Amino acid sequence: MTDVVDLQHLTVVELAKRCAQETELFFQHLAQDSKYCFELFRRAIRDADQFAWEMIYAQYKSLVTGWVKNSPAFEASGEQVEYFVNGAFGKIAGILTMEKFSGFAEIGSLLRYLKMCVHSVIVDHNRLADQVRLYPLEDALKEASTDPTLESQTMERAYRQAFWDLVSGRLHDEKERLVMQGLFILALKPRELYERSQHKFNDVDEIYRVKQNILARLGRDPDFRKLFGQDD
Amino acid sequence: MNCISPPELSDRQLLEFLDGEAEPETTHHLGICQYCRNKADALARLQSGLTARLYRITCPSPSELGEYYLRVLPSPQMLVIAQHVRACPHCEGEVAQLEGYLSNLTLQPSSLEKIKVLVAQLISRGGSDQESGAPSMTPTLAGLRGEEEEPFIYKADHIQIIIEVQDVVDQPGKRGLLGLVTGLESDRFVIQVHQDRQLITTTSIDEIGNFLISPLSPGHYDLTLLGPGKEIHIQSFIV
Repeated sequence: MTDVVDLQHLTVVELAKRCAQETELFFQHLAQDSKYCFELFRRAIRDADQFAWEMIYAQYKSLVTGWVKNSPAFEASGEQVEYFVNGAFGKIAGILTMEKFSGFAEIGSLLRYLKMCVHSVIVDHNRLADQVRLYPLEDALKEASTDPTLESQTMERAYRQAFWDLVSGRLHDEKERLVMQGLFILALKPRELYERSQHKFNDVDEIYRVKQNILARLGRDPDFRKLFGQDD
Repeated sequence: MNCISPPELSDRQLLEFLDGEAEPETTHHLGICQYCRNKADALARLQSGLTARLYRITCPSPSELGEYYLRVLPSPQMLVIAQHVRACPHCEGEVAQLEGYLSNLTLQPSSLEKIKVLVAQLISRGGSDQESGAPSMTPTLAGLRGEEEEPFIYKADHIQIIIEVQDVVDQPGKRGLLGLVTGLESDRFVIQVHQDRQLITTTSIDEIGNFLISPLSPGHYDLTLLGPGKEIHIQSFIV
């Protein structure tokens, strides 16, 4: 109880100092107490305390920098290390709620979560880059998709969601949904889709027939043609 | 225009060609028939346009996949994502990559990364700091340009950073930062200025701790002092 009371009375600066001291002991393989670092995270999340997040950034930046460099996804990204380091701290500050935090018992599991955030910001970047590289939008829409501003990215996501809402509303049954999901959302070939869902289709021919029907129906749909830009 | 060698190719044959699964006769026909080639091109545009708009639109975000793997999501969400991962080779691959990445939770920064990172605190705004006896900047930095404001005084450990914001007389609307840093162990420090994560400028801190950053447009900036074994951040500095 005394320990809990002591922690509550420490300021963020004091917690950060103790966290740094205890972490240094950890690095020297000496006995250490991780409760100060844990409490620093708790204050940051519970109080949405920007200064506490800045202390966490200062404390763990070098660790996160190493994690970024060691990520298998980093080299393919073509981005600077610092971009993802800042992104990881932004990510954890944005998604780690008190509810999720209550599931962590100690600093090790919290740092594992932070490392997951490192992975997620790099993969997120690579996913977008893959999409732009492998499946570029037509010129008219390309400018919006590659414009890095938050507003245009939000608009582009809204457009894609509206497009999916329209297309999914035009599908008739589960087989058509599987074909749309497999061939256009996951970009599988018909043979690959059949291998993954043989119990749903008789053969690859059936997948081609379903695909043909979907494309013909969408091609005749005036709302689809308008949203797709075919009637400009 | 009509097909050069009827019957024209069916949509099915064209789709197989676009998937690289065409019979040799189909490939040959497309080599000689502009009409059928145009139909194939139109189908290709439709397909690629669909994929460009829909690619992975139903996939969970990487952070959702990460939280699924770490089992911190509510049960209903865990079930939905588990079903998706079973059906999606892309998400399956990302989860597997994450599993390998997290299996080695190195908590020791490498010797290359062992840099002390500090966040400077604003301790006062005035001509001098009474406690530390730090000198007023005004006689030291003679770059008196235009209107002066009271300097900002930051502290990180034993390092003190004093910054004055001044107008740049020959560039209306622009401002300059005159700085003095005390307590650095080395004269090999630089100061970087970032805005919205973009590097605006870098300048050296001279041997007596002075620096000058000019011109800047009014706004919020992040300042970083970088030097041997140390990094000091001043966040959201208002110019």
